[in-house]
Amino acid sequence: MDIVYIVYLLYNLYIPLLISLLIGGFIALAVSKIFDIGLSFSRNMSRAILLFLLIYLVILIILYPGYPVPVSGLFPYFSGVDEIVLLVSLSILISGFIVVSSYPLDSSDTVSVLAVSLLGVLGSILISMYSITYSIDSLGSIIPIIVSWATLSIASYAVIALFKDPLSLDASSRYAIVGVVASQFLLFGLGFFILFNFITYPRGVVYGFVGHDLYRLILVLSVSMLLVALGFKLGSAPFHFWLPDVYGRGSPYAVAAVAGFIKIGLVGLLLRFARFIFDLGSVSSYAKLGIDSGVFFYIVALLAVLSMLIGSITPLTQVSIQRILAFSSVAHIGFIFIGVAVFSIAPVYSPAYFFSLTGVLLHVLAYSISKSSMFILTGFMRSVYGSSDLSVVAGVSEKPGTLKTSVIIHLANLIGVPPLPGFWGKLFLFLSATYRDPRLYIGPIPWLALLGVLASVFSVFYYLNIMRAISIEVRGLGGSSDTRSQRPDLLNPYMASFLVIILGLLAPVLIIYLRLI
Amino acid sequence: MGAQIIWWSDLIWLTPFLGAALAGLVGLYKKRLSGFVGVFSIAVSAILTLPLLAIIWSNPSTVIISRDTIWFTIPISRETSVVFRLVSYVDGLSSIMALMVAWISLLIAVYSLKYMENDYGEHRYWVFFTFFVGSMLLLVLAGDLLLFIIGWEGTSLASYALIGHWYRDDDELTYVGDKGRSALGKSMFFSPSHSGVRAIVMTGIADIGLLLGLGFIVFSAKTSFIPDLYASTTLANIFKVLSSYGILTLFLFITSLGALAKSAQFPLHEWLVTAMTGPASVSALIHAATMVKAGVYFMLRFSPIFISVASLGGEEVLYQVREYFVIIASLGAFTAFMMATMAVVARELKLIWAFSTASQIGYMFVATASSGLISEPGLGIVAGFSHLLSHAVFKAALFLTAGALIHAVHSRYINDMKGLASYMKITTLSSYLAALSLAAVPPLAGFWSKDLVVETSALTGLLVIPVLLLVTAFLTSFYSMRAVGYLFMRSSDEKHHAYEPSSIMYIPYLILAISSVLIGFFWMFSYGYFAHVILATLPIKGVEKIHFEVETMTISLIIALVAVFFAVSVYQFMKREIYPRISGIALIKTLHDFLYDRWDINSVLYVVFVDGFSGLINYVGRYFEDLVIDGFYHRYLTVFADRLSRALRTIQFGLMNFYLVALLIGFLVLLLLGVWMR
Repeated sequence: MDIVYIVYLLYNLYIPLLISLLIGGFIALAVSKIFDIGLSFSRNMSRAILLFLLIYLVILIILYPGYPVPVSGLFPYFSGVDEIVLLVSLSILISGFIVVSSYPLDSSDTVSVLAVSLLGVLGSILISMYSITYSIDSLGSIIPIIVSWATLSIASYAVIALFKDPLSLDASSRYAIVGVVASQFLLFGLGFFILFNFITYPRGVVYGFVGHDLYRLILVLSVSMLLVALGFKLGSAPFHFWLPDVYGRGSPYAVAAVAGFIKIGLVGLLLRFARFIFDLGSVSSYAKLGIDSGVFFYIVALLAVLSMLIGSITPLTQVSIQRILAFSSVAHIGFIFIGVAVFSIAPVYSPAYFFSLTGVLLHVLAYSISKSSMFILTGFMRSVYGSSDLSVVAGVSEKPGTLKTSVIIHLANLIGVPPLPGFWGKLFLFLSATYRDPRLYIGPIPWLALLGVLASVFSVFYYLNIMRAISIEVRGLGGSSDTRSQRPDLLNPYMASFLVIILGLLAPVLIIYLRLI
Repeated sequence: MGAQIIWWSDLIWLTPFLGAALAGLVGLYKKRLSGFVGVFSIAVSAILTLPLLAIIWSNPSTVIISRDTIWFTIPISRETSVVFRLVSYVDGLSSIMALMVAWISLLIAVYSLKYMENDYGEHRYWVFFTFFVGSMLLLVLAGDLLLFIIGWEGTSLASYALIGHWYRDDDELTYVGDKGRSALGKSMFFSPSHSGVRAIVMTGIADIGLLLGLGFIVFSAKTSFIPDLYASTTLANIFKVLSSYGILTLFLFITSLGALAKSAQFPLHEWLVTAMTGPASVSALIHAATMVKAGVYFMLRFSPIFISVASLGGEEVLYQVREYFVIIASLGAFTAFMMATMAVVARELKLIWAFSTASQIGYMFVATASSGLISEPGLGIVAGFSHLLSHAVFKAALFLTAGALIHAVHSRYINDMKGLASYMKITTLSSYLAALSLAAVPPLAGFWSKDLVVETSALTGLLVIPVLLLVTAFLTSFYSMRAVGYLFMRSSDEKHHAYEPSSIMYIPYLILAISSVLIGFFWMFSYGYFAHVILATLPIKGVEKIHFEVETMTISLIIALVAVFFAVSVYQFMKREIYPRISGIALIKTLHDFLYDRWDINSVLYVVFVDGFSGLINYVGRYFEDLVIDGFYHRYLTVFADRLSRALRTIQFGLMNFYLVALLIGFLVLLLLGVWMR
């Protein structure tokens, strides 16, 4: 039994473990709801499942052999458990654990929320494992993608709706309606993609009876629709209009789940999609059709710029912390899109390839942990101080020290202050955009990085606004520090802030270890 | 040239640095100990200089370096790079200078053990004192220009710290000037903290010139090792290029600016005057014996380089290098004269010696600059260096005795020191001997060196300079005997409480005073070999023998003796003060005030530079900072961002239909882009 075989075994057990534990947990929670077994038991069980998976994942990371480990034929069309899967799963599991541990235990629906969250984790991790593959004699990864998409979408609609206050229901219904439309776009996009593959089979052969432009149109239709779907779900401009309302009104705990881990898996899919576009463009016969990844790049870069700018400028004058965080999610997706754009034009294993990949993955890690923690803290503020408006929060006297520390560290992470992981993520993202590599289809794109930096600078302002409101006490502004019967605890975000610091210090080690450089 | 490699020659400058660090640590535990650590480290240095000098004295054509390896390189193009070495270079010039610096520092350090006892900054004093000695020795022994600059700057830093040692500004005894006196509207009463800033600013600004010049030389000649520059053809070519633009003189002058400032030559001499706010031991070490000599050492090191390179460079180079030397010599002579006139009317003891220092250093600059203008350059170098040595010895003695005298009567004015001779015999004897050396009375050292300087300057053919120097000599002899003469005056109040300081204090200055005599005798017999040791490894011609023209000697002797006789008779025998009697005459009073206020140069500098720049700052502050920068960042930008943000918020309608419409529009835009772009 040599080490290679053990590694292969462990890696191959990952997916079955995921599916069985998470679905098993779902079933167990359903049972416990029916039989009214107990809230804290349910929560602890969910936490145990997530913690186990997290530890398992950490072991996988430590044993990472430097190449994507092939997964056996039982689960076809996986790309193998590579660094994308590892780091995205890490983000999902950590933020999942934090969020699940922080759900308030004041209603029986918490069990449902937990169950749905587990499903969300599952869908999210699974969808990060697929690239779009299709062959003439099988549907390839299309079905699994649709299934995972459906799982995580339903989980996200449900988790918001289950917090049954009127604002949450409103938010959830908006989200669901627009989400359904976006899912249509996904299906159509995949459909057009199948068509494209079908009429260009064997790959690259162009049948004479259709003109070149039609091929392009079909491919472009497919790519645009898929981008619309992904852009909607992730919250990129100009598909983001639902986000401030949903994130801003829904219960912060639910939003922590959605923003923190449920939508994160899609970043993995997006990265692989970008890579797929690159491979497509490098097939010379497609080049005859005028297909190259440059178009994709410009489209994604446009989305990135729009998201960053809208996400950074709009919240400058917002008054509600929750809405500020919502817009900042848009901005962060913009940053991630920079990395995706560069990834789509970077030759394999070139510096830009590594920089963009590292940037996106680290940024996702930082973002998921800190965003979910921030929303949890907002939930705390809403339940204890009554609202999460800046003026209200600023007026409260004697805010707990753990609150202040957590807020400052998590916001610093989102700003991108070294040595926290948010800094590393942004650093590599901007580096990838400025790196001079003659092999890139397009030269270095410093304007992209410049806009990114500009957006980061703008964002500092509103994060600082929040930090200031948390740290100061202004008399006579309203808001009370009254204690309701169940004061939600701050332990998890507080612990998360230390985790964030450690991750930041470990980030360089991690990067080198995972051969990301 | 035989270069011996002796690794421990680095220790000479390294030990005091280590001593400073150790003194810093040890003093945290017990303040008194830092002094002993400091003295010990300097003693080690001093002892280590002896064998090195012995080696070179016995074989003057050897040099000693501390290692043969390179330190690091800076690539300046694909093929070439500049090499930097961490190496000490010991030749005749630097070994004798290092010996002088180390041993005088040791004597002054011993003196300080008692002088600075129980001072509130005793611990800090020793750290900076020892650090200074290390920097000075580094500067002297540096074989690499980078090390030279490091040492140079280290001395500036230590000087600032030690001048402003009594930074609390709470004791009028530590001030310089008369309280409430002002000239041209600028106060002439200087506190220690103020003086410290003046010192470092004046020397710092001039150091820009030093860095520019040396930096240019290093990176264009592509070497940082000083001996590589001797008669270097690379440097000659560079000089040729510079001279073709007509800026070689300017370049050389800028390079020497740092030296001029550090050695307190006009117009950067003011800092030395107010540097007397520091303790007397500091004045003795830094502002008499060592740091101010750094500029002269720079000239001694680089003049042979310039001369040797110039002879390889051709007509134009020679002409401009000559021009440069003429400028330096004139500046030196003028400074010598100017400072002597100020010393004649000064009433604070330390100020008299400070003016005297700047004046005597003017002599040294004249000598070294003359070396570039005469057929036997070695003579100028030897003259300059001898005067450096003799001056260091007797001036250190004078400052140390001044410290004892000031402490005895608790006043810095010589008017209050009348009649101390009978109570403080050893101190008076030491002051007297040293003052006689300063007054250039044979057979003391000062006579020989000053005379050699005057002779060398006469050889240049520029007769103004030796005339100026002789007039200055007259003034020098006068004021030195005037200062000492006060000690013999009868005073109204009996000074019972004046007593000789402890032996730890008087032994150093007694030794120094006696050395002045001994060095004089030494030179009478071995001047030639002394010159040979210095010049053997320099890139200029050696001297056949040192001979003194009888005419010049006679003139100097007469001048000295007349002045001495005049001063002694008035101040010692008649025991009179002249000034109160003649101050009634308006012309005399105006002249006196002009000289007393240091030719008003200080006030002019303050009006032009200090007021000028603060006016500029206010102007910029008001019209640029407040309006432009502040306006942009704090007014315009905030309004702009606010408006933009609010505008963007208005597109967030909150209507669900809009979400779907936006989705579709977005999709169409992407589609169009994808189809349209190729």
